[in-house]
Amino acid sequence: MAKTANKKISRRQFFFIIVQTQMGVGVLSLPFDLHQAAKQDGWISLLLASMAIQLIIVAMWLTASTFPDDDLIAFLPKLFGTIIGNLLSVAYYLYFICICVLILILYGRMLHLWILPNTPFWLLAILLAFTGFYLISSGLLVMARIYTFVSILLVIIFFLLVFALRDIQLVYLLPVGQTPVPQIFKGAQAAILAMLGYISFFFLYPHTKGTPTERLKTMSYANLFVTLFYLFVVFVSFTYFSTSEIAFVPQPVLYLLKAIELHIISRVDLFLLSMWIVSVATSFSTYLFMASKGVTDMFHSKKPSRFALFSTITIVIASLIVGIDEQPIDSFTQFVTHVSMVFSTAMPLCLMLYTVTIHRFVRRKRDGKI
Amino acid sequence: MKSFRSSGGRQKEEKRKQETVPNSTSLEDNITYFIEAFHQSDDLKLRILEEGRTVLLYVESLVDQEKIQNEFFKPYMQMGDQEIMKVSSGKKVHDRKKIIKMLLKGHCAFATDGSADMLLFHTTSAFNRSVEEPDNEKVVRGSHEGFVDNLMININLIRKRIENENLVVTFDKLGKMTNTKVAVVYLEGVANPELVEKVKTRLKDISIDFVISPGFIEEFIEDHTYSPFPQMINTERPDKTVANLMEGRVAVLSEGSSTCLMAPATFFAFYQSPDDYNSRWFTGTFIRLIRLFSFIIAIGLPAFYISIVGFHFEVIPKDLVIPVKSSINEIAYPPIIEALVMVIIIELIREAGIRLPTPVGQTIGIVGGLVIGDAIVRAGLVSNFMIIVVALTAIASFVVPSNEMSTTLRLLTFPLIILSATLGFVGIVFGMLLLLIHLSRMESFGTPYFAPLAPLHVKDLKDTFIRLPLFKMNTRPKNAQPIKKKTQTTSREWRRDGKNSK
Repeated sequence: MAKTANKKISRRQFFFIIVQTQMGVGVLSLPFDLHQAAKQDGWISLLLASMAIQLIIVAMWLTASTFPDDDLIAFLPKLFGTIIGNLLSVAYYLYFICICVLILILYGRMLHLWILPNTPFWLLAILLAFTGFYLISSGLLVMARIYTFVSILLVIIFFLLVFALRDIQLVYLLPVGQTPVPQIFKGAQAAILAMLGYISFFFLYPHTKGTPTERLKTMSYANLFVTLFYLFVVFVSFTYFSTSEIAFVPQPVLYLLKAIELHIISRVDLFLLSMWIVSVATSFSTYLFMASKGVTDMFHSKKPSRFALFSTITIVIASLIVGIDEQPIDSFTQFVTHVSMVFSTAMPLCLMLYTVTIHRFVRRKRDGKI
Repeated sequence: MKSFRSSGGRQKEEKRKQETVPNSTSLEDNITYFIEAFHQSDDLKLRILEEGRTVLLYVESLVDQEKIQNEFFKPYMQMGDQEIMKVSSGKKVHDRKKIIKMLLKGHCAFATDGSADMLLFHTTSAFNRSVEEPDNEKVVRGSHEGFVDNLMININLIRKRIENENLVVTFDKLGKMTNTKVAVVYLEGVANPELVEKVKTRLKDISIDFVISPGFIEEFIEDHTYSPFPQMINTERPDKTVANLMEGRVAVLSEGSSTCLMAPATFFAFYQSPDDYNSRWFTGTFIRLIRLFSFIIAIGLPAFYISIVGFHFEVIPKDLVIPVKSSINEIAYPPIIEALVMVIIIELIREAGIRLPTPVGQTIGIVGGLVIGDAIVRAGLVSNFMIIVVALTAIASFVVPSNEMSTTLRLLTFPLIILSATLGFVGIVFGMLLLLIHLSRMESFGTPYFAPLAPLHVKDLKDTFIRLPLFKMNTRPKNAQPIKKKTQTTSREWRRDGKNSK
């Protein structure tokens, strides 16, 4: 591990880490969430969200390329001084922990609803959390290898959904553009929540090979890939279920696969759900990685596994406290949504503005004096 | 601190090895010394010649009498003892330690009164089994030679296949008390010098009294001892060894064993067999795919079946529901018990059959396989479907060309069975994910173990999942860390010319 820690990941691996982190728990319920907010125009919200994220990516890139060797936790103190910087780092640490908890409980509820109604949640939580811990304790390079490898599951998911194309009705997409603009923006917010992983850019950027421009390109391709994949999922769900039906199916992707009967196996949805678990595990692991990397750097510790273990246990306990009942999950989701708006959208933009204006100005002034 | 101390100990040891004890000029002194050095062992023979003025000394169990006759007595009879000291083919040595070493190798020592030098003649007897095809690595077509238990013959088998001065053999002694000779073989200019150095240092670091088999060596020099997966290629086939040497791997052979170890190894190296290259590439590719498919069956099928009958009965298509249901309805035990019982029965039959003489082994197979299999279903202990599943799993685990990998696979079945019986598909997913993480984080001598899949090298897939025609394989696989990448220039120029002339 010590050896691999110094090696940089290739741009292909970078691409797949971003893709796997962005795709996660949200993919199964995304069409439903979009539909709730923006009816059949949900796909417009998705495109809008994707463009917003692209903007944020450019902003993050501008910040990150000012500090080519530092990740978020390392450059925050350089930007704002030790005290404020460390406070922000702690805030980010807590934010990542919150997302991990959210992933854990959403995954727990999904399995509880769909295949394992009698299995206790703590068992599922421990299983996922410690798989994530095992994964991140191998280092970024091994994570990158695995993320690249499991991306083959996305291809399988794609082909499973292609089966559903036989029964779609394009007319369900009509009328286009009838939803009021505020509703579409509300849908975009839901879409951003499903595509959150882009913040990992801050942590991967210094560990990736290639020129700054190449890395920005790869990142943009990853975002484009996720957008197209989501768009396909949303398209299939929106045209398979009619506008009034979809309001009754919280996991449209699973429902539409449930109806498909292949000759060898029935219930394709169970296989999709199994592959979805891998996707969840990968995005969970990235957040866990960022959290424990952050806290390790803050304490300048040489023993990252200790902090990773600490974070993992914290996450499991917190998720058990929240539990998988309807009410607390909804309020927790609301909470994380609001927090995410601050940490994943507003903060990167502010950081960029601060870096390109004040920080640059201050540095130039200081350099000029010396 | 600890390492420092041990390195100090090693230095002392080496110093002791280098010490020399010179012979005395008195014949009597010398002979008493050697008799004492061998603790009056009865197979140390003295032949007193010329009324006690000269003595021939050898270890009876190690020498070939005929060779003594030819090498020593014939010239001795012709020339006499004074002449033979000057002109013979024998080697003059006066260091007692060295003489003991040579006596133990089967040389005979000729001593004359009044001289500190002794003459050593090479009279080693060699009992070798003939070069035969190894039983556990048979091929249909191609070379039928296999390594034997003699190091020199084994190296000869390799040298015969690579007539190149760049093939380097270095010897080392392992085992502080057994002094087993170990050879490191590699192809200079292809093998990565760093890799060669790594293998040599790890071998030198071994400090144990005895080394019997390559299994010993493997455990000392591999990277991850706490892993079920084998991390060095084991083979008894010279042609396989040569192919791996040509890719840039390093081979380790030891005296007294017919197994050759090769590093670095990847997971997929255990799924390759020389047969793939002896048959047409379509067939080779097909068989490779079958083997890799067998990996999935061997570790996943019982788990998959258990989770279906235990958790997800809906997955079975509707026409199959009634036969499955009627088969498992009568069974008293839950599927996990059924599966464990069957897997353990198969392991028992296998283990019982291995060491028995062939006719008895076959009887065990019939009694175990047919009688128990039939009776256990009639008795209602295990369902028909479970028998099919477990039997298929066992067969699949034997498809792997490597014995080590085969045992690993059968071992991995158990945790997956338990996971699937507790969590269904979710358990299988986590089991596979953990397995994948484990495979991806392992490294064998600096090569990622799960290459070329994780990390992905698209170019190297040409010789893992499939086997392309040989003239398409222009580069050596990256996982052997070769320093010379190209294997050939255009080999089928005639083809291109032919097209042009048309």
